[in-house]
Amino acid sequence: MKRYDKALFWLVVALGVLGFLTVLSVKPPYGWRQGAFFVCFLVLGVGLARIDYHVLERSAFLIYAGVVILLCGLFFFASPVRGSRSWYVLGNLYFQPVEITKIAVIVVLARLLSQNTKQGALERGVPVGLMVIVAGIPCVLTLLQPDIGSAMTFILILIGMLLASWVDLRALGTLVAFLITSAVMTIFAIAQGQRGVPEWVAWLGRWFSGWPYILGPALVFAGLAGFVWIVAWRLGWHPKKRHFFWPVGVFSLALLVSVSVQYVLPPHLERRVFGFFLPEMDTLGSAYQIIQSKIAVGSGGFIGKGIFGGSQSQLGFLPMAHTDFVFSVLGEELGFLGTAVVLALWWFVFMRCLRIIHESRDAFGSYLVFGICWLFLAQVAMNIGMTLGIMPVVGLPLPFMSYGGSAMLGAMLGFAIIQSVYYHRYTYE
Amino acid sequence: MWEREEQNLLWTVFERRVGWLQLLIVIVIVVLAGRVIWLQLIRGKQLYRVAQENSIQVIRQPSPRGIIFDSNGTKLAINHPAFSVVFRPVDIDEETSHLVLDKLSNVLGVHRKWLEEQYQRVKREPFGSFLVAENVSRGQVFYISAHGFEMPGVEIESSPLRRYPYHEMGAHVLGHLGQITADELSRLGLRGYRAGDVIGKAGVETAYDEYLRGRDGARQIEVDSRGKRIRLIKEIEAESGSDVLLTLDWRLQEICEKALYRHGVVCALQPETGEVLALVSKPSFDPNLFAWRISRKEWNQLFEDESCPMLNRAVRGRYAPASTFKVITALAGLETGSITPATVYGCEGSFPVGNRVFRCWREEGHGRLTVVPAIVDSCDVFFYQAGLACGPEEIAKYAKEFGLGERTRIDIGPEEEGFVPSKEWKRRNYGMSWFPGDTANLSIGQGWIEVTPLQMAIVASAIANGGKIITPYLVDRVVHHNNGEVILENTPKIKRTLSLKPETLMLIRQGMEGVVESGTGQASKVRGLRVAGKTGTAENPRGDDHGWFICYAPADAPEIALVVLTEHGGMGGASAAPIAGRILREYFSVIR
Repeated sequence: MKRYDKALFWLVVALGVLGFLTVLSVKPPYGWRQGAFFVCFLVLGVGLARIDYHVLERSAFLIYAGVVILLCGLFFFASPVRGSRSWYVLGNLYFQPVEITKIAVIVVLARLLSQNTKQGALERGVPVGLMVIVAGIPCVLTLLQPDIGSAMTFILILIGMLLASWVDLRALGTLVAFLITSAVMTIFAIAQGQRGVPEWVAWLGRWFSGWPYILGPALVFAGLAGFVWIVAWRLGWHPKKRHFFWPVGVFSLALLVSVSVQYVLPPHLERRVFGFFLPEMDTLGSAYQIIQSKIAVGSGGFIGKGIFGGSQSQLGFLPMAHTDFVFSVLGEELGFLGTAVVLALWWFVFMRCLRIIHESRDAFGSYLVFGICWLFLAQVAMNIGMTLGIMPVVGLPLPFMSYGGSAMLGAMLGFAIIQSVYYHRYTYE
Repeated sequence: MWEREEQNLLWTVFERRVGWLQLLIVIVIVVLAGRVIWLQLIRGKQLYRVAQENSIQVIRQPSPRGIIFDSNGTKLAINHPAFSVVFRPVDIDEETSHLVLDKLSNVLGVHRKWLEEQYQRVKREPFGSFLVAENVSRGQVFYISAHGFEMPGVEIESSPLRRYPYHEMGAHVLGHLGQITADELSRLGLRGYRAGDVIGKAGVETAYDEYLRGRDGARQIEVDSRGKRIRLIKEIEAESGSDVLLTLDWRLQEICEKALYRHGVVCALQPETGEVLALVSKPSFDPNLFAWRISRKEWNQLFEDESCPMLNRAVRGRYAPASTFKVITALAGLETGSITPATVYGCEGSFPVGNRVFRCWREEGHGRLTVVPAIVDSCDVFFYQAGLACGPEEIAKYAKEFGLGERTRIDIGPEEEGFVPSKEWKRRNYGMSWFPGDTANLSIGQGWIEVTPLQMAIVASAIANGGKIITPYLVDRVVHHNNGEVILENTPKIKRTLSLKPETLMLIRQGMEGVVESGTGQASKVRGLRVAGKTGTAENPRGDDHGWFICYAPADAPEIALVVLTEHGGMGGASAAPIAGRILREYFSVIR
């Protein structure tokens, strides 16, 4: 026990217990299963942590091949549950391979980076193409299921690992800016064709939806960039021509993406994407969840309504209370005290991760912990943000807390890897 | 700290990136904490009140399905408002509730005990309500709305209900509706179907369900903790589904339905385009039965009836084509050159093949004849010999060219492929080689060969139009319910064009005209109209023979290809041909 990171261990136990109690209060049978999952996988994780994580480095591609086969198998063996083929069903057990795939992708990306960290790495550059393929395959496979939330996670993982690498930050920034711009424009373009959207959304969306409307934003943006460029020149900062053409190019490319998606996506998928990203406007679907979730969290107040006492969650106003919206239940029942404790616990988890990144004995370990820390951060931000109404309704679980065996397994594997890196920090080859 | 010295430069880069990560962590936690503080500490009291007093309910409003029209604008499937009664016992004390339930039980004739059970089940739920009765009559609706003050908590909801004004007529074409099954839901879940949806179960209702179904509307209603509706927050109107215009001519359909007085099939195509003009399969069923909850007794009657009223015989019935197949045998012989227009075979009432004797339907025989009179009199012995001269491979090849043994790809499913036997098939399934007797059987359309009536209609069309194998279709176009904008338009599709010698076609057509003029199909003769046809009598191990008649008219400029099949009707010339004659007479005198 001496060589483990005990603080991290107890933090995870605390998160798990809070999650267990919350799930138990909404859906008791699920709660007990959740407890069992937690204990089993925690023991498993602690055990696995004793194995040197360099095993992962050697077998990274084998693991990757395994999970990709599992993902492909879904198309043949999985029966659709709630409209997507994401689960293997074995009697009473549901297994969602995408959860362990996330960890596997991090492992492979970490290995790709670390095997290139020899002398002169900075000059040789990052194997970006390879990294895109590694993250892209599971991304496409999950998109086809379709599971938009998980597919997005793989893009986030890729961005995280690129951040960890020695790639030029400006290039990475451009990529992220492109992704965000094209996503926002696409969503508006799709929304304008949907029923019940406010006037301004329809108006705005039309500008991104097709010819000749797209000329409008393209010209406005080019004009704006030109204006900024001239002002900068006047102020004595001497911008290059590319400082004008780069942003305009990225913007136009994003426009093209938003227009072409219109042609590629069939209407029923458009509706799904719309309901997914703009739930407030999807009266029939997720708007209801978001409003109910905000009411649930807010009505908890400072001390909450007491565990097992949440009216919103107990009376069934809150859909998916035990999985994606577990944080809302916790907020309602334990109030600000509960939510603050959860946020604090996560804060300390992240701080421990940063510590372990520094203490790792080699680059591979650091990249691993960086990636897993990033994944946890993304899931916490998306999931809790969603329940608080500041993020789209992405079906991502809250690690260690949401109900679900696969999610718990994935999170615990991440935990085991972090522990293993710490455990072997003084082990020399 | 990484142990390898040479990585120090990389480490400094990486350390800076870890700094970025740290910054992001701070941002995420601070933003989330800020939002939590805003919701729970600053707006906490307000939201607590919202949770206590108000909540939002979403009520779906079912949408009407599109209307189905025939080609003249006759409405074949429409929507009627149907009323259901719901009891919402919130805010109502036990005593009053019981009085209300007594009244409901009296007015609607619902079991009082069942009502009590439902009431006990829902009374503690936040917005508990239950469906008392569906599809209540107008009188009951008036009574309940007039006595509303005596029955607090009773609500009347209206939803569109599918009606088929012509009941059994054309039921197999139109199809019927039913609740979506778990299986269908998992198959169609991605296309926006939900549990509890009503979905087409057969015919056009299934094949064009995606167009016919509307989009449900919704009302977001704020209700207080006792379920009382406070205000309407937002409403999205239900949108009707698109209308479907069929190629059917309902006047012809009515003529066919009347003419076919017994179990069987009538199938009429436009021979150039493949538009289906009429499609009758008897016995039929009333699709209105399915629009509302069908009783178990009715269900059993329909699905366990030995005559299979739910089966669309036109596309799913498998029958031996019998003598109608001689057209193809003759065609194969003439095309391959194994017989010529002048080839003469003698018929003495029977013909020995191997160690068996095959008989002609006319015991005294037909004497010596060539191919045209052989078609006219449907001489079996001539075709035994012609078939043997031609060989089973060639006959099967031409049968397949004419679309037998393959799906017609009509736009309503599912359909049977039928079957054309071959040497290899027999060897595989019976372990026996192909005998000349099998060829003899095949050449008069008996034995293993099986076709659907629609396939024979395509054969008749192909002879009428000079060898074009058409794809039959039932839906002309789909149009927007409100503005008539065309959403989908089906155009004639020629599957393939057979290159037949003009002489062959001329002989076959001549033979088929002779059938009606002076041969086996005289019963179908229509004054002033040249009809070309072929009779058939399919031997049937399970009962009386099936009667066939395939034809097209007018012979010089075909406007209609018609197939009549009478199940267990006996001789085709006596049972099917008169029906075809009656249909053609009325069609050309009344409609054209």
